[in-house]
Amino acid sequence: MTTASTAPVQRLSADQWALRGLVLVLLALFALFLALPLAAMLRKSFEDRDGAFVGLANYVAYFSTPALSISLWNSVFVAATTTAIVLPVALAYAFALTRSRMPGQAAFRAVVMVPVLAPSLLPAIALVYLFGNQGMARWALFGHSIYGPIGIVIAQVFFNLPQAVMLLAATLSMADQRLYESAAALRTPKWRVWTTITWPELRFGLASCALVTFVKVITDFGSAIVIGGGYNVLATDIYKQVVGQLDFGMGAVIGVVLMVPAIVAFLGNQAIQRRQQAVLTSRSVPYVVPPSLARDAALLAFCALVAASMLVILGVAAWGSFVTYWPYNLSLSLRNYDFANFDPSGWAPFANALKMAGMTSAIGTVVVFMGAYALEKARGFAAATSLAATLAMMPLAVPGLVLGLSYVIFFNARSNPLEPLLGTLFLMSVGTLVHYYTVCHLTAVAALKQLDREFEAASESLKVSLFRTFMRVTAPICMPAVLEIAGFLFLAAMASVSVLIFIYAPDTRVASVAVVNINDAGFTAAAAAMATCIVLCCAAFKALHALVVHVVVRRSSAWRRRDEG
Amino acid sequence: MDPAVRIEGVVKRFGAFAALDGIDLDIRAGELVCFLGPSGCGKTTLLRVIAGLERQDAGRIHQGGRDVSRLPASQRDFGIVFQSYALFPNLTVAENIGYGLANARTARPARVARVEALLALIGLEGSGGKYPAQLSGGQQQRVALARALATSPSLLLLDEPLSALDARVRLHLRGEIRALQRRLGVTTILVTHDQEEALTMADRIVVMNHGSIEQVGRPEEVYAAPRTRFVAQFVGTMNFLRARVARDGRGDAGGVEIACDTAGLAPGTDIDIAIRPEDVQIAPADAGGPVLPGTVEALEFLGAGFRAAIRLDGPGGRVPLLCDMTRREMAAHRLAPGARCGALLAPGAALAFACG
Repeated sequence: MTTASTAPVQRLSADQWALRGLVLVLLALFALFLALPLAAMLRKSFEDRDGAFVGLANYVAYFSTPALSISLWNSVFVAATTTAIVLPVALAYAFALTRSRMPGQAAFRAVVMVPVLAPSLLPAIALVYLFGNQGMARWALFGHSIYGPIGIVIAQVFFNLPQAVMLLAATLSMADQRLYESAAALRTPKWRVWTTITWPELRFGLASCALVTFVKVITDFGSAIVIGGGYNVLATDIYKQVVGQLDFGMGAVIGVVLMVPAIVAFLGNQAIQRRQQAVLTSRSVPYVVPPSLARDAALLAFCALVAASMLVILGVAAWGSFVTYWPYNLSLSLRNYDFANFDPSGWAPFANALKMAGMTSAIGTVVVFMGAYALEKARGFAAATSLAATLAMMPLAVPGLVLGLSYVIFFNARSNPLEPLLGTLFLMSVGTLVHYYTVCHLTAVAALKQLDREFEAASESLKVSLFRTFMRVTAPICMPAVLEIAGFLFLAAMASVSVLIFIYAPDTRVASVAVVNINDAGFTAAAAAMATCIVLCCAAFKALHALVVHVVVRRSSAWRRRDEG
Repeated sequence: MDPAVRIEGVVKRFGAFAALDGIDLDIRAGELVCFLGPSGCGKTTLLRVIAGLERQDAGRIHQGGRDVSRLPASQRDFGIVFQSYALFPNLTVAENIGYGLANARTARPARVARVEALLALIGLEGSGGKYPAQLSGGQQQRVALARALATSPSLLLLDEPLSALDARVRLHLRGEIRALQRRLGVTTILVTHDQEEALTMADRIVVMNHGSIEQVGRPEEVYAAPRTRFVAQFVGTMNFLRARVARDGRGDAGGVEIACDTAGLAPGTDIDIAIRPEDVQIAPADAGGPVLPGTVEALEFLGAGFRAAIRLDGPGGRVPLLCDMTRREMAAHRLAPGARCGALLAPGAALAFACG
């Protein structure tokens, strides 16, 4: 059959050209700010200080230097311990939020999210006040030092609890009432209900939660740098190799090593999600919690304990920032907030942080949403769209510290015409955006998938351009998701340290990085003050954000369907 | 005169699966054509290829004498109503209907007047300020129709437009769409899997299966003279009796002799004899002659009448047969499950299909 002569090649509409253009722009951005830097880092790990190729020599040196390779085991130990603590605590807390009739569920849900507003250094700073060498509750450690694995683990538990609770609460709230009713109708004993219904629903969530927590701990930098003491972990090693000794080759090796658990966790999570998809259908009926006083009382006590310790940790850091000179002068003052006394740049890092977070949020929301739209709607451009969709998932497998390091290596190269970008707030914004890209991308895709698939076909048949339909229909309907992305990016940029620690310049240093520097210089109280400023700013932003969301949702309530009563 | 739409050798594959396997079809100006077939038969794909929303792998589409095969949907001339309606939820009914007018460089007053006229046409005067979510399913369907007609396209495409509605509304809208189409004289293609919808609404029906056209014809033709076994079985209710062509050209269904047209079929060929339940008449069991004796197995009350499931006697096994009758006939024959009865096939009504 002579297909070639009979198959007419359909001309593309201007809209489809535009979508393809967007996909290509997205690909170019991913190449420039993700793939090429990582490739440069990988190459660097095979080079010596002068840039000569040395094969695996750096890796050999790394694994044969006990001082370095021991931190690999330290990291694994800390991450495993934290995961082992976070998992049961988060499970019980999430269970209380979703499968009990405990009073105050909304408040407990809000409290557990508090650490999200704080940089990862804040819990560590609070621990210094509580259990440090001059801490008020030092006796509670029975002579052990908080500086080291104990401190890192406690700080990490505090810091990782929110997302673990949210992940497990989401899994637990997906329960299908019909299954439990069928089990009851078939007179199934309780233990069998658990092994045949609850556990199968839960196991994927637990596995996914364990992977995420493990990787976040292993790649986090903030806690270990503040409270790690002489206990070396991978994340602090990179920092010391690169910032301390300017050994980019060795830093790159550790970066590659650090990517291994992240990639393993990423692939594991993908496999889990593929298997999990069939669990819930649109016909499922939400689970109705049966009353049980004993269960609710026990869970209430447990949640109160967890929530109280979170508030104590946050409160201690805030209180410590107002104490004039710990532990000698306990009068409260704003002395620690006069940052010029501790650091020549004073309040400038805070202004930088606001600028950087605003930029990340503004640029990021547009790029993420337009990118997701183009990937969803471009027709017959399979190779490019699937490559871009894969790249959009990749940041999940790249720790922030590694991404930052790869930027230094890539943009610092003399041959790179983009070298002037290094140290700018713009590149810092881009790094933050890339680091958090996947979460935002998935939010946007989920929102777009909820729209009628035929909107574009309908507007095409009416000869209205896609751009017009995007502005008039798609974007307004997706406004809640757009706002969610914008808010998330702002908060993430305010609190993030790991991506930025390598790529700031003296005049573009942001608040979260300043916390590290001020703390390094020994001014714990001022570091606590700066961290408190970040928390307050994030809390204020969050309140403003909630207000905007409320107004937008109320304005659209006339047409927004309220399917869930 | 050129046909309104001419489809030539259209092929569409999804991987190894041929959704459309060489479709040729002419659609005349002003007629309402139904694409009828089971899900997955390619009818919606064909509609989308005509619209330019799907690209064919081979073949051509001409519209009004113009080859539009290469044009994107936005440069073709048609209006479409989707199965889901795809109304924009954040725009009012009036804004939805006028959505395509804003681009057609229509002056604002003319636009408003056009929207008002369309609202009147679909019987929703005064609802222009409402949002789609505030309308019933049937009303939403009519708004989608008005939106598709707003730019006065020469071709109207309806993709299962009634399938999301409940039965009563569906019946009502069937008539309404048909009347509107007649009044506007717009060439219309309607995709449906509901044979009753196709039979009641279409000027011509295109029965499709496995990406190919099985038969094209007026509803009566398709119903009374199905050209293939698939059409016979898909449109309406049909009895199939396993049989073999006997020497005299009659069908031999396990010993039961049935008169049917076996032209072109050699004696001894395995065939299916098809006959509609309404072409089977109940007679006394011992009437003899052309009456086939059997036993009543079950009776089903259909409201207007009854349907009896009969097992015909025969040495080669007992042959099942459905038979429709009025309540009066039912009372006259005093049928009950287990009772003996006879079946008389209307002369000339039985069709023979060679077994595939």
